[in-house]
Amino acid sequence: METFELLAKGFAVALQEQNILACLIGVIGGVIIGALPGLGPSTGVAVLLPLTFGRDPTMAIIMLAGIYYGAMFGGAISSILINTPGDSASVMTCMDGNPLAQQGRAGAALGMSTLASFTGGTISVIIFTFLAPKLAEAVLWFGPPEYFALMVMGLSTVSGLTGKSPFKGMASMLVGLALSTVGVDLVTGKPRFCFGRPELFSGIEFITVALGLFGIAELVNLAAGESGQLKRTEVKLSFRNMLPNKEDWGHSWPHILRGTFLGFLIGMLPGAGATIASFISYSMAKQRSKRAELFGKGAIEGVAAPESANNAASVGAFVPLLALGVPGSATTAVLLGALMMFNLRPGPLIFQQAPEFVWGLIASMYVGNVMLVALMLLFIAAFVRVLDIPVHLLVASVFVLILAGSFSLNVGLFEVGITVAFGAIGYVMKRLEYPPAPLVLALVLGHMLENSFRQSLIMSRGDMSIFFTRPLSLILLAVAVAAVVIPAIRNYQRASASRST
Amino acid sequence: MKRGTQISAVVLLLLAIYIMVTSIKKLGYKLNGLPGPGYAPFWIAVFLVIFALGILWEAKGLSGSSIFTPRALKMLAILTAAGVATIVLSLFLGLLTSLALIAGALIWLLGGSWKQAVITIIAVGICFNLLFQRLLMVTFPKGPLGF
Repeated sequence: METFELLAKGFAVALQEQNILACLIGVIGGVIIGALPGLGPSTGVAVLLPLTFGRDPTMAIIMLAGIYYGAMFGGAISSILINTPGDSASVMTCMDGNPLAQQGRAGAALGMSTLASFTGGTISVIIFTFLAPKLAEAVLWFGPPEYFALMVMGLSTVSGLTGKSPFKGMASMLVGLALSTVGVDLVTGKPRFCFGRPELFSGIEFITVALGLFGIAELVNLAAGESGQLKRTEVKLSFRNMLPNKEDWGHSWPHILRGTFLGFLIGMLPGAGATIASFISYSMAKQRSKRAELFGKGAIEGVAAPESANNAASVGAFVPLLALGVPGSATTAVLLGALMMFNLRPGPLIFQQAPEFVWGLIASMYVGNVMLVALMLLFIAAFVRVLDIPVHLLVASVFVLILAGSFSLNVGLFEVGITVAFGAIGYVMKRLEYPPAPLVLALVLGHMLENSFRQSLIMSRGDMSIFFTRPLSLILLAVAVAAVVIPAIRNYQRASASRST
Repeated sequence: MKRGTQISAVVLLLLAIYIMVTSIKKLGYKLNGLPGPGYAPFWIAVFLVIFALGILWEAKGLSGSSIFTPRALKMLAILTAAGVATIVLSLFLGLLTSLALIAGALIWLLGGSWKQAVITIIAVGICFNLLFQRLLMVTFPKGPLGF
């Protein structure tokens, strides 16, 4: 009952004029960013974050969250119409979405992806509404050792499971941790790795790094593509031809529901996220479908299953972010950084300390999902036009927006320099298959990790066994080790097998 | 891919060694029996050495294919140079003018027409002035013309 009251208060916040506007801007921005190949939600949130400086925190986070789940909706547009996923979470939508477009059923594919996304998103928000506060209550008794172990687990799973090589993921994470140590040490007041630059005394802002790694690096990638203009399937889209028929619904609804629950669960796990959720959901749909032979050739349920899963996963990712204060993906890492910039500390206490913000955000997700389904069904033709923007225009305008955003952070050119440098580093990392998400996640969590570590050792008077004698801390650290060791062993076995053949 | 990965692993090893040496010699590993400012960086560097060696070992099985196409290298150089040029130009022309000029130059360099470049210069100038300077109240460094 209490949850309903809090949710009602949340709706009172979410339905304020300024918050409705923020949500609308966020979801429209998200759909556009999601639709543009190469610009995923993490890039979108990082690039648009500077535009929220000085605004009301609730309004700002509602907008940024809108970009996140809006991008999940938008990703399907380019997958279906140009066979190029807007971001990795939409890869599986290409499999059947584009063949459907080739058969003249682009409207049905886009409509089904919209309705599946809406169903996945909305059911997930309902689960989130009841689950997140309970989880936050359950972890209220966590002490510094448990928090330290939880953060280590979050970082290890993201590093171990993201990318092809767990070694590269871990190295990326450790570089992020090393970067987080730059600045004046809060305990002793001693500058660390500042090279005499006063700009570095307060540390490296995560957003300057994220703008480079996710923003500029993706722009280089986009500009490096051979095509100057995206080639899309010509379609006539209207409200009527976007509504799936009875037969389409009959084939799709079980897969939408399964994808929703699967996506939500996977989204909550650090490192797994929307991409893996959509892959698994698609594979399960194919296995269980009565017409598996149609998959890859234009099965409508091949669009519904991954789309419901990736949207559900994007909502699921908010559970560990808000309830535990530990993000599990690149986008939620950027969102955590944004929350901290607004002096909001996610974690179990946020439900008590900032209920208006938390419940306002949750309520805005219901509002945002309704906005998205209405916008997509009514204005899809306008969103599709985004694909007609020439690449050079897109690259140039987003590039200067990134630089201006980086400057706005501390009103300094030094930050712009850091962003440009990390843009180049990020592109090289991308080509060498070093995942950037662990680096950003570690940079955001680094301070908290070090503080928990030091507090734990103060509690135990310097005795490291405190991390291994408390049961939950031990379990979390064991999971952290397993998250790195198991993928490494698998890689080794795969390499040995390929060498022997 | 193989050589690129090997070089990156060596760079990580060098970085780790630098962090370890600085942590011990300059920052201080322990303080009154508890972790000092160099404690966390030291252990981060130790783990970085381990994983960098892992990357070196893994690189043995990689192919020798190139990771950069000539076009990718060109784009990387163009965008990096554009970023550096923005910083340098803003010292003389102000940030708003520099951003507008760089946007126009990028359009032209990436294959757009000079008309698109000119329109972009004007549009960026006006839109960024409204968005950043008027709406977000960010003060950009000004040039000799006062904007």
